[in-house]
Amino acid sequence: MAAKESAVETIDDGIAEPGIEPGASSETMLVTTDSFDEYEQEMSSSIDGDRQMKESTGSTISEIQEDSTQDIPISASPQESGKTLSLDDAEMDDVAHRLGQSNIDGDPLRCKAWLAQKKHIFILSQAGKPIYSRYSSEDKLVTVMGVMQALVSFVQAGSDMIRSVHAGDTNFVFVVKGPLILVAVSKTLESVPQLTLQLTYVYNQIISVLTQSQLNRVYDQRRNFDLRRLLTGSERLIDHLLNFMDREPAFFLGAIKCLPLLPSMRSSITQTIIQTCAKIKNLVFAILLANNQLVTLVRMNKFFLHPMDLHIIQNLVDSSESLKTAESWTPICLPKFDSNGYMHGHVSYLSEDCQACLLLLTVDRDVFFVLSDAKQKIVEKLRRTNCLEAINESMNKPTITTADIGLPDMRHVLYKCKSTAQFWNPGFQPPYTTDEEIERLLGLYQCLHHRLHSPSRPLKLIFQQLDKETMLAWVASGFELYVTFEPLVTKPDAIEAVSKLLKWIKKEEERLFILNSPTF
Amino acid sequence: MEADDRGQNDDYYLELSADPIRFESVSCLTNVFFDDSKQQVFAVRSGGVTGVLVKGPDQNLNFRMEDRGPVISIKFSPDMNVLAIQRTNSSVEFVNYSPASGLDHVEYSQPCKGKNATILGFVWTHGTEILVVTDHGVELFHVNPEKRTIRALKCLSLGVNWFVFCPKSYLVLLSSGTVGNQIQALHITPGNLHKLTKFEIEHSITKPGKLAVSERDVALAVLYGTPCIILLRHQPGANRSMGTAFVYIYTVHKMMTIKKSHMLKLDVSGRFAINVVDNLIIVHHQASKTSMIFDIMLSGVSDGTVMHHTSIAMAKPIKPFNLKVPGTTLSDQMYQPCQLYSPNWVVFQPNIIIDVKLGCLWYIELRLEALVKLITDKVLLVEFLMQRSNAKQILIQVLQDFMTQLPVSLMEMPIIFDKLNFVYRNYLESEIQNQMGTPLQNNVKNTTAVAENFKHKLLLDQSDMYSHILSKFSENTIEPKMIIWVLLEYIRSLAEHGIPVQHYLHELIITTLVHRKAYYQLHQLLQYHVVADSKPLACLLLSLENLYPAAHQLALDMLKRLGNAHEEIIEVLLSKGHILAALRYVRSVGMVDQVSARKFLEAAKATDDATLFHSVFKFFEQRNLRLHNTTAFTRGEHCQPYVQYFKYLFQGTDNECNSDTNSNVTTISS
Amino acid sequence: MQVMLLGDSGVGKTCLLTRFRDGRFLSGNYITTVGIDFRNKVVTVDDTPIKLQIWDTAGQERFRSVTHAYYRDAHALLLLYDVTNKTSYDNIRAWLSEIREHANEDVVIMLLGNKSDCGTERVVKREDGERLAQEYKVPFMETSAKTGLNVELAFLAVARELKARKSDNPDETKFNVQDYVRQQSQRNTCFNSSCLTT
Repeated sequence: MAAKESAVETIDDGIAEPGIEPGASSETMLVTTDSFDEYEQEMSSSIDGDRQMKESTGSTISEIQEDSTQDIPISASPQESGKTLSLDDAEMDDVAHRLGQSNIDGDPLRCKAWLAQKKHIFILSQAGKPIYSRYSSEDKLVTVMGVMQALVSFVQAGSDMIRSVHAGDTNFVFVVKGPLILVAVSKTLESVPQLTLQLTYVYNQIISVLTQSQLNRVYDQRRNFDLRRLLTGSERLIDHLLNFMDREPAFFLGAIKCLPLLPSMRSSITQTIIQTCAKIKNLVFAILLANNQLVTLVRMNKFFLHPMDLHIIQNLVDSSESLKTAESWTPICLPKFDSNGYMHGHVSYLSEDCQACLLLLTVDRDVFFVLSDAKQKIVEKLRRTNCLEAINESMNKPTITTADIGLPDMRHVLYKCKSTAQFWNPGFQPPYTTDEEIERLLGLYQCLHHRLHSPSRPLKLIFQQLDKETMLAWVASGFELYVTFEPLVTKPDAIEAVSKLLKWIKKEEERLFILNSPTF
Repeated sequence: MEADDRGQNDDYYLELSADPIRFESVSCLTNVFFDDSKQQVFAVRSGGVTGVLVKGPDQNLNFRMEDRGPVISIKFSPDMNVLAIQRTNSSVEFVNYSPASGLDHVEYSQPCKGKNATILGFVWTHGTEILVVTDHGVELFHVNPEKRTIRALKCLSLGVNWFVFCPKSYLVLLSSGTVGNQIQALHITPGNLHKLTKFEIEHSITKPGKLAVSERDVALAVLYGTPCIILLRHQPGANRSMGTAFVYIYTVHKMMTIKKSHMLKLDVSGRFAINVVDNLIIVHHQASKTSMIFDIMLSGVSDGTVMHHTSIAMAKPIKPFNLKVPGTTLSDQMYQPCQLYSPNWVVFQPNIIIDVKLGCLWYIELRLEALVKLITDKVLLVEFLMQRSNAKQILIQVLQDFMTQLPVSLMEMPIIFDKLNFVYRNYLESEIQNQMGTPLQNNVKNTTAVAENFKHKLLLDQSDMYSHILSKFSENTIEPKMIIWVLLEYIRSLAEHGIPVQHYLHELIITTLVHRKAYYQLHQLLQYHVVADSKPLACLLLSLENLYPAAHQLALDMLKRLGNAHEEIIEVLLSKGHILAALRYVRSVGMVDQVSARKFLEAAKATDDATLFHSVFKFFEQRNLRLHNTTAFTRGEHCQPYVQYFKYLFQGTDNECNSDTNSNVTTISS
Repeated sequence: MQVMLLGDSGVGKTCLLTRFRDGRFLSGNYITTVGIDFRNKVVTVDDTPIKLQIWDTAGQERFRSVTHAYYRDAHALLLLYDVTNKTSYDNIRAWLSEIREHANEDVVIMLLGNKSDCGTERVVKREDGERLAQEYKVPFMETSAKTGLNVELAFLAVARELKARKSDNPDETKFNVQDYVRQQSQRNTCFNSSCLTT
């Protein structure tokens, strides 16, 4: 039976008291722009990329730095890399496995398993040189990428901009930014704006590794430059980012999830960091992440972190196993913060027995030891005040489910607080116990998200009976809500459950969200 | 001779009744009288002394009476109890009669009241009332046979030239005025006379002493229930033979007014005689020995007030008739051809032809089967046949013939169906009116006029159409496309006339469409509700799913519209694995608390879809909670295997599952 | 004591360090170092505990500017190439000139040809490594993070050299890391002869 949809006009009156906006706060440490404003901006900027870049030359980092020059000279490379991608045996196996054992040496375009992939991502230079392919060696795709480059330049020749091509169930989405062309070939239900956003994330990941100015410079110097030389080792970050986006609602929501903690505990952690680092000059952000959730974020006065940048940081942390065994000192560019310069990050896990990752981001290149000391002090203090224990407890506790909250008809929910760019979701419960089911559910959320934010015809409220569930999506002034119900739920029951849920989140808001915005 | 005739049979659309009433022919001894009211022939031998033979359609009487002078007119009362005899210009005698004892010996009489009045004739009207027409007026009397008395009831003074009486309508037409062009009609009711509006017939040159209108040019008849005055008019031409004649029909409305309504164009001149058969006007033309047929109900050309008609078929002679006559021996019989259009013929209304010389009384009859071949306009033919009594078989035959002529007859079929269904609709309407006393919602204006007309029309309802025509198409001769087209056209016509279409027509069209594999057309018919919903139809559709997948949904929609097919809908949905849809349906019709959980759980399990099974299981858990305050199933529901299955799917290893969930939580949401 | 691992991306710096520090081989997971990772390990040289702070650097060109800043603070440099990757061997000269430019003059340098277990894929001969080491007068050995061959030895040799320099003991100044390595690796070769294919 066809899915029925109806906008319940009266739901505003029916749910909770008007004006309930759990998690809302006037203070926020995150920049709160809608991810789809972002999309519009990206689209326009990609048409007139030069203008965008010139505008952003006012560097945030140089503003912070007093004396240092942050120019990174590209030395004449000591490496004349003939072999561009070194694969060790293990990786070889991995790739072979991903390609379904079929001829990796042959043409991927003839490989069924390759062709059957649901979402391909390709990156190439404006000159048509392959840079990245999600599921195969980009070397093998020179001709395909050539076609993509031709498509882009053909449309560009008419002073226009190719955005997408639709063929059957496949969408080809193009993002042209600076010297790069990014292409998604997707059979998923994701919308063009959502795919464009994902490509923008991929681009930002590259900027995060290279900086915008370095990227522009290499192509200014040599149009034919093989960017893979500079990106060696970063394919992993892009691979991880793409998988991350496929299973993580934070990206399309444009929001951050917090580790649930007692407000007093969180405050204690925050104060410890502030006190320890107060004297350190040029420290811009201190970020504590646990299980990819934000424990706390302390910022330099005047400066805010964009959720997109935080997602890039989360991707870095989540994809780098080596961070668990070492203190790391790494340059990182935060594209939203300053796309032209590196921040330097001291990255380390708190301790063997507390797997929360602390990032101390500064604009100084050589304060590793200062930060290393500070970290040691922070850990000691946190241990003394039982904060490590509290973090562990929260990390190890099974995530609360809607059944636990007492909402039998409700299977799952995404709640985004607009004013703080934070979101919350409960744990998955049956029937979402397999990866396929979870992925399917997230796909449904993405569809709803797209329809709420459709550039041509945005909706305020969707109540939709689907094949296997009934879903509700609602944009209120303070929040966005995506709810999955039992398929047979009635509308009144659904409305009542949403009402209950909002009350529960309101009750728990201090634990689930960070409602203040601490600074050094 | 017979064989020869047969070859030409087709040409004769009129014939004389096979078995004429024979009577003694007129001779010097025998006088013959005909009473057109009772259609009796009186042969009076020698003034009645040697016997009076009375022959009618169902009488054959023989009696004697005294000879009291030459008989001018002789007529039985309607109940046959009184015989009226006119022997003089001034009186009428009455004799009682009974079949057992024969004629009474006592005569009683009634002289006309008017002084010096000459009796022009008399007619029995109602019961034993008798109307005597004299040249000075009319007088109505009541005869009392028991007392043998006569009582005057009414009279009217008027100079009368001649009169005509119609026993069917009790209408008397009186010619008055010096040139006889003024016509006064009277309506005779029991005990009373009613004058109708007087009217004049325009006349041109009248020779002195000759009436403008002669009695023999006037006939009274009832056509389609309306009393009519049929008037033959000779249009003066350069000379007599060149002129053409016309017949005017004056219709009598509500026994009040008379209106000249129709004109029949004869296109010839000479001597004519008029008969009325089955509401048709037959005009015999002696000179050409042919007859023409007119139907005033068929549409003609109107000049604003009068409808002009032409003969519906070309003029044809009456079929030759052979009279059976005794042969040379007693056992031998011979056939002797009769002279048709003989000068010895006397024509009476409505349909009687008498040859006084031969002593034969025939009824003139229609040979529709011959006439059918002469009417080429299909619509006209159907219309004509619809207005004939007992023409149903022929009409059906004609329609069947049309079908074999497809697609040539395609253009006419819609109009023909509309004509049939117009009558059908009116028939149904009066049926309902009779039963309910309220008129059916009406889309036909001028109900009363229509109601009067349609009574004379043939009803061919959908069951007739189905059993004789629509279901009788032969596959080999007619293109299936045509069959569908004709069926659709018939259904359209029914619908347009607001007639509910019977299921057998729907089944017919569906099976025909299916047979033709015209599924899309079928889909459209259903979608636009051309075909009415029914359970058998829905089942038929379900069975078509393999051939046409969309039929499944069409069937479901139809079942839903029927409103009483809950079980069927649920079964169909379950059989398709649409378990959630089935449960939603169950809920929408308020059957949640009654349905068997086991049935749904089994169906869900059979789909092998864990998520689906989960949803269904949770649904019934919630039902249990509502009904029994616990999520557990009652023992009577026999759901234990499904509880086990649920556990196996989602809690099978409770701890493992938890950690499983957690790991997902960490990968996805943390 | 600060020890820095250098070399092209993918030659196995982090694997070598993990083998040394944790005694395990990071297989299957292609991990790339981002910037510089700092790890500590205490080794015992002649009963004296020596704390080594080992800086594992990212091999990529783009991290060069970050790593340059820490060259000066390093007491010893382990310069790695991959015996199955000719380019990584060819780039050693460039690495050495960079070291001359940014590092202290008295920094201890050791050249390591890693992945010596990959017999069939080898493209750089042991002799090539030795010749290059002689040319620049630095000690050399082939290692395998996978089998653990010479891993401990490399770090111990460096620790020993650093200790010797620090103590200012005239006898110990005679300690020659090159000789020590030759001596020790030969011994090891005897033990692991089956592993070594030249």
